Formats: sequence, structure tokens, C-alpha cells
Amino acid sequence: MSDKTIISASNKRAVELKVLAEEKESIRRKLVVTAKKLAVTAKEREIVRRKLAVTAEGLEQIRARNEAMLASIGDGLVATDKSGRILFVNKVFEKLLGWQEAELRGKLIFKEIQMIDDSGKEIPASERPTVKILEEHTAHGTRTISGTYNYVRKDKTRLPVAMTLAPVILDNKIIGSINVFRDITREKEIDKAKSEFITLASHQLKTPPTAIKLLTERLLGSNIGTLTEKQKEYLGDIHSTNERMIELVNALLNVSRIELGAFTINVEEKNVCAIIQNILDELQPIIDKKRLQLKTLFPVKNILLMLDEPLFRIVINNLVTNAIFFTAEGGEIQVECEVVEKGQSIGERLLRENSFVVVISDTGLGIPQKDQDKLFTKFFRADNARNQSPSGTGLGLYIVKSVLDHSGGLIWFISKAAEGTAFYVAIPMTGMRVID
Amino acid sequence: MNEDKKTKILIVEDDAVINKVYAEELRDQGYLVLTAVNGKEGLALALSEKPDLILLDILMPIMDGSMMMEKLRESDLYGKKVPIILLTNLSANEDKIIQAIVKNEPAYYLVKSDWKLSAVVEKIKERLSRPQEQSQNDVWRS
Repeated sequence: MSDKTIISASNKRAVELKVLAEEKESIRRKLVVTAKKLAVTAKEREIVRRKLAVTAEGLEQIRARNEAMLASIGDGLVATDKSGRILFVNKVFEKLLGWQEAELRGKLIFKEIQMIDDSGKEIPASERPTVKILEEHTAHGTRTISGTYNYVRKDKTRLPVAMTLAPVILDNKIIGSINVFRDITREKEIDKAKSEFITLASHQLKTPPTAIKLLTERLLGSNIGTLTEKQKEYLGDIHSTNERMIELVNALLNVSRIELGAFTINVEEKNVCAIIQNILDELQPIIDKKRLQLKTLFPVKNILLMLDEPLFRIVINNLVTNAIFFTAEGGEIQVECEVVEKGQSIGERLLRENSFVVVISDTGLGIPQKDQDKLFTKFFRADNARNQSPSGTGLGLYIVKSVLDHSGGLIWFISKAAEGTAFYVAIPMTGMRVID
Repeated sequence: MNEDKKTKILIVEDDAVINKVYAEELRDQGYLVLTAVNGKEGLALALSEKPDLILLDILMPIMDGSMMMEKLRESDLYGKKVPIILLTNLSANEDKIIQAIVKNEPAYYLVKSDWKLSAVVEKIKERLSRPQEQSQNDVWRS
């Protein structure tokens, strides 16, 4: 091999090397660029990762907070999907009903958890509030169902609850339900205790004066032997004092019935004029005794109304008795019944409903202007009434007003001192009904 | 009058004084009177003595009046038909009593026990003077 050849070969090599070096350099430069780019990406990723970590932490906090909130709601809570499958229940639910969430998740609420009515009969699935809420196809408005129900616990005992059920709505569609309920065992017990108290009190408080009443009647009767005039007088006093006692006990029991809320209205179709006539017949002896004129105006007879007769009697009896009581001997009492149509006026008052109106008017003491707005207040007695009869209870008109307030009726009056009073009682033609 | 022919009335009432007053008043009126102080005693006496009428208190210990009436109505032909006058201090809209009455038709009256003695006696006389067929569906409310 010649030198030239060697040189030329070495040159070639040098050129090749140079090219190679240049390529390497170019690759290196590219690598540097890539590395720089990667570094930027890595940085960006790190930022994103950090952001994600923060978000995740935030979400975790929100979740924990929601869970804590659900867990610490004092009421039982159960959520279902749109077909009624249980999604979750809270701790109170578990405690009240005895199931753990894991046992119930994914199961149909109306199959897994029984509901019964007050008499212990099972409520069919179609009648269950959850089903009713979920069946509503339109999601407009936010209809909720509230009421008292009885759940059956895992151990088959009854749990009375007050419950509110609402649909869960997303994009205008019902996607599930939320049911919040509260244990009302205690309230139910109190309700029961209240009505038991009244039943017991009626019996226990009325029995002794009843015995006294019967005994004085026996003594005053003809079979026991004759009494001196003075003995008769005292027995008469015992008798009338005892009657006051009976009246007071009755009034107090009516008041507690109203105030304890142990007040039910049981309506039946009744001939209202016949009831009023019957009350007047019963009171006729004391009307005669005071030599009062009683006028009755029943233009339409045989009107049938849905009435709670005992309550209606309390109203009319109180008003007529008051009229008798506060009208001087020789005075006049008038009892008038009429049907007044909606939009018509009677006794300076416009009626908003077709009504049966009883007007009880007298030519008695009248109610002084200054006492008129307090007349229906418990234990209130107008000054002139107090003078006339110190022994009244001050409960009669309060009871009358309460009964009418609770049953959809109205009462008002027009009165002038020393001239007389007219009381107006209006009962809707649709009958008495429960008003809370 | 021969004791056997006297009209027999059974009083079932736990208050001793009230029970005594009714019993003595009715004896004075010429009735043969039997007394019991609770529903259990009353039921036994009613079934063995077959009184013509029963005056029955509602709230009583051991067995109350509505339970006694129920058992009597389930017993035999006599028990189904004997007129019963319920004595009660409760208001007539007490659900329990109404239920008992509706279930135990026919033949009953409901009398407030704070009625006058003479008024109760009058109700008894009126009831006894009527044939049993007419007694259906009477409800007395004071």
C-alpha cells in the first residue's frame, strides 16, 4: 500500500469521523432539546400531580365531611336509587332499625323493610311512600311526602316514625329518593298518656259528686222520712253546690281535652234542628223557673248536617244557658236557625261558605264594650257577669270558641250593655271537620 | 207481690255508694235488685239469675262493663237479648264505648251517671214497658 493510499485512506477516515462527529453533535443537540422539553413536561406534570393531590385531598375532605354529616344527623336516613334499591343508610338508621348498611345495600327497600299501619297490617309495596315518590314521572316541583308510619325492625318489633320523603332530582329526572325519619315512640306514649289521663280523670273526678247528687236526691225524696224545712234548705244548698262542682269538673275536662289535643271530631249525619229543640226541651224547666219567654224560629226543618253531636251540644247548651242566666225574670230569649248562602251577610258578618247559622239572642245584661274583645278568653268574666253570678267558671265561652275553632265553625256576637246580646254560630253546610 | 214475679234488675257498679243508692231506690220502686261490683261478678250473676234488665257501669276493675257486655252477648239467647243500660261518666264520643255499643246491638241505652236518679229510674221503667223487638237501634245520649 503506497503512502498516498495511506493518506487518502486516513483522510477518508477523518472525513468519516467528522461526519460522525457532526451527526453525534446534532443528535446531542436534539437530545438536549428533548431533554429540555422533557424537563418542562415533567415540571408541568409535577404541577398537575400536585394540583391533583390537592384536589383529591379536598374531595376526600368533602367526602369525609358529607359522611360525617350523614352519620351525625340525629334522624334515620336512607337513600335509594330510582328503582328503590338501597344505596346507603346512616348510623341512626342502623341503630333504630337493627340492620347494618352492608346487609341492605342494593336491596329493594319495600321488600327488605316492612311497614305496617297502626292496627299492625302490612302496607303493600304499591302504597309505600318510597314507591309513590319514585313513581312520579314528572320531576317538576319538589313533591315530598310527610307523615307518621310504622317500620318493622329487624327483630320484628314496631318502630313508629315521623318521616319525610323526597325525590332526588338530576337533570330534571328522578334518580332516587331520600327518606329521613325520626323515632316518635315517646310522642305516641305521651299521646296515649294524655287521653288515658282524661278518661281516668273524667271517671275519678265525676264519681264522688255523682254519689253526692244521688244521695241528696234520695234524702229529698219521699221514701226516707220527713225532713224539717231547715234540713231541706241545707240539702238543697248541698245539691246546688254539688251541681256547680259537676259543672266545673265537666268544664275543666273539656278544657284539658282541647288543650292536650286529645280532641277528636266524630261526625255523623244529624238533624240539627231536632238536636237544638232537644236541648231547649231539656232547659225548659229553668226557663220556666225564671219566667222567661222562649221563642224559636226554625223556618227550615229537617236539615241534615255532618255533626259531632256531643260537641255541638256543648256549644248550643252553653250559649242558651248563658242567655237564660244573664236575662232577668220576665225577659225574652230567641233561638233562630237559618241557612245562609256564601257571600251573604248575617249579624254584620259576611260568610265565605254556605253555612247553617244559629242565632241565640236575649234581652239580658249585655256585654260592656270594654269587655267584648276578651269575651272568649279563658277564665275571663265580664264585670257585670261577675256581679250577677260570682260562681261562674269563666270557661264556657272559651270552650265554645275552642270547639268551633277546632271544627271549622264560627262564632261572633252583637251586644249592647243593658239591652241584650245575640250570639251567632255558623257551621259550614259541608259539616264539622278537624281544623288544626 | 210474690218475690218470684217481681221484675229483676241487676246493678253492676264498682262505686259502693252509687251502687247502694241505685239499689235502694229501685227496691223502693218495687223491683227485685241484685248487685255486683265488677264485670266478672256481674256476668256470673246475669247468667245464673237472668235479670230482666242490667244497669251497667263502664269503667270497673277486674272486668269492665264493655267486656262484660261483649261476653254476655256472646253467651246464649238470654244474654243476646237482655236490655242493658250503660251508665257512664265518659263523654259519648269516647271511641271505645261507641265501638262496644255498635258491636253489641241490640238493646241498650247509654245514660250519664250524673243524671238525676229519677231520670234513670224513668228510663228503666220505660225500657221495661216496651217489647224487646222495639228496642233495636236505640242510642241514648245525654
